[in-house]
Amino acid sequence: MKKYTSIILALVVIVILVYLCRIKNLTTLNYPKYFPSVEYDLSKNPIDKDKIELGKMLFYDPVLSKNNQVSCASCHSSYNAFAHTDHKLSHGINDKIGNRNAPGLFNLLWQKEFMWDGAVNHLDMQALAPINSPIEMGESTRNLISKLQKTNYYPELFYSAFGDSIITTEYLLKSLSQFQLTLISSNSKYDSVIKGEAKFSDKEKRGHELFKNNCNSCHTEPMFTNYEYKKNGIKEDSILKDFGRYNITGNINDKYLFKVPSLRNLKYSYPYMHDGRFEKLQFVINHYSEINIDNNLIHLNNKEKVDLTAFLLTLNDKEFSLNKNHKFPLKLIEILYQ
Amino acid sequence: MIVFYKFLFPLLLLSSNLIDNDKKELVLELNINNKNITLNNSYENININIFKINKLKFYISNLKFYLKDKEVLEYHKKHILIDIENENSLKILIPNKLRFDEITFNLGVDEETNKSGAKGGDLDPINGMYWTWNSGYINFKVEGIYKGSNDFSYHIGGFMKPYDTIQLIKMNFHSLNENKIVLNFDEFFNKIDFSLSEILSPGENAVKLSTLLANSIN
Repeated sequence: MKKYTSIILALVVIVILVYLCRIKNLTTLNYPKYFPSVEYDLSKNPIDKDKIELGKMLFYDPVLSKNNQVSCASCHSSYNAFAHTDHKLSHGINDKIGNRNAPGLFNLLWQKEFMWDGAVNHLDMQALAPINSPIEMGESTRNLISKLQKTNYYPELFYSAFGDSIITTEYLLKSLSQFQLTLISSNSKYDSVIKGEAKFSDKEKRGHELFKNNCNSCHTEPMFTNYEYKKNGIKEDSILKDFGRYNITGNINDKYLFKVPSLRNLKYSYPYMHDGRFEKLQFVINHYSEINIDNNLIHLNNKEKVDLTAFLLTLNDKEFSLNKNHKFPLKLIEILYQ
Repeated sequence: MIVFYKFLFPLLLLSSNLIDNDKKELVLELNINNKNITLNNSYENININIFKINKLKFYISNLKFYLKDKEVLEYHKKHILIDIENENSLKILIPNKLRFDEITFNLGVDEETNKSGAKGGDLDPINGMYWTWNSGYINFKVEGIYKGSNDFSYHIGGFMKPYDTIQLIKMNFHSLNENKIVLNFDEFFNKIDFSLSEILSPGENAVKLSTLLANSIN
């Protein structure tokens, strides 16, 4: 019996060690204290290094598209705060042109609904839209899972992340969420000022005051969005015929309402608006000071426009755009070009 | 270890067998004209429309059993995907001794489940019961042809008010030892307007169809 006791003891020690290893892999997401409480329920998908790494691989892997040529990163580039710089509308499979401007991906931990019209109600489910869209990745979830299962590396990576080498949609979506949740942008000059580590110039300070009086009700600090749907005063494009939020709710009052985007990282996310019609920030500011939306006219003179722009530029997060942890994973380069 | 193999292990096996013997099958029957629906069979509705069904899938959720208005069992699986092509999905295992005179369930997936992220099993989006362009489960999917070769597709779903399509179904039984649940689709196919042959998104039409379904089954 003594022999068995020692075997059992050894087993217990192994189980504890394995458990500790798993705990070591659990990690936390860091963000400033002045950020609001998070929207994503992390208890249902606890952050884990292996899951983040897997999510990053999937994010950069063109295997997600039908012809294995389009990845998430094709329209969401890390160097540009995960926006599609200089592209009015996103480009999809076989050079098909989409109908909306690809937004930057950051601070998704606080975002409740996704897409310009809020069509997607949870970060986990977001990836299903581009994967299955005939003009984005043109794939089917079922076929994608079977393609991943047949590779000689993904089953192992899913095993490391989820303890299961049988790949499922749930694992796929949860790991993609994990990587995207790590994309936290909180190191702009604005953040340094809030943290007391830097000071605004006089111009930026004046711009901040103008911002608080004219823009903050929708682009609410510190996330620079109130996550609501608002009219942007843009005339309907005769080809795109995009009714915005109305497409989802069917409520006539929601016609031409679009999600309020964050104003962080504007340097990288041009062109602006849901259809990318404004090439420059200056055009957006001119638009809002010329158009009357529901009796709200933001009237700014030229000097004020310059000041406001100076403030908006303090929201760019260079550190975020250069963050090495968010870049193309080396492991994937080895696999794709071996 | 020997103790485990010689004594405990057989006991475990035996007990699992006992558990299985303790269950009985409650069979779901999907009927038109008092007969089980057969795929690609020709049916005629009261408007003399000939139609064939080639796909029938739907969710039932929160299945509860009652005896004299008192809840006696809540089925362990919250959502069940019923697929006419998957015979196993039509069998529900309940305790052998369960006596009930009423059941209730929802036809469809509740709002919370629709809003809380990635799920597996019957709720895996791979089952073709999830809209990818607009978050939400398809509660009920039926596809087929009518008047010769015209396609019809009804993907009924939507959980956001005022276009929520989840429907509460309540059924009473005379026998306390019932072993089948009959869902009648006669009224649904009789009242359906095949000229609106495609309803594939949430909205007013989906709500109308979900009400029609509930009336048909209830």
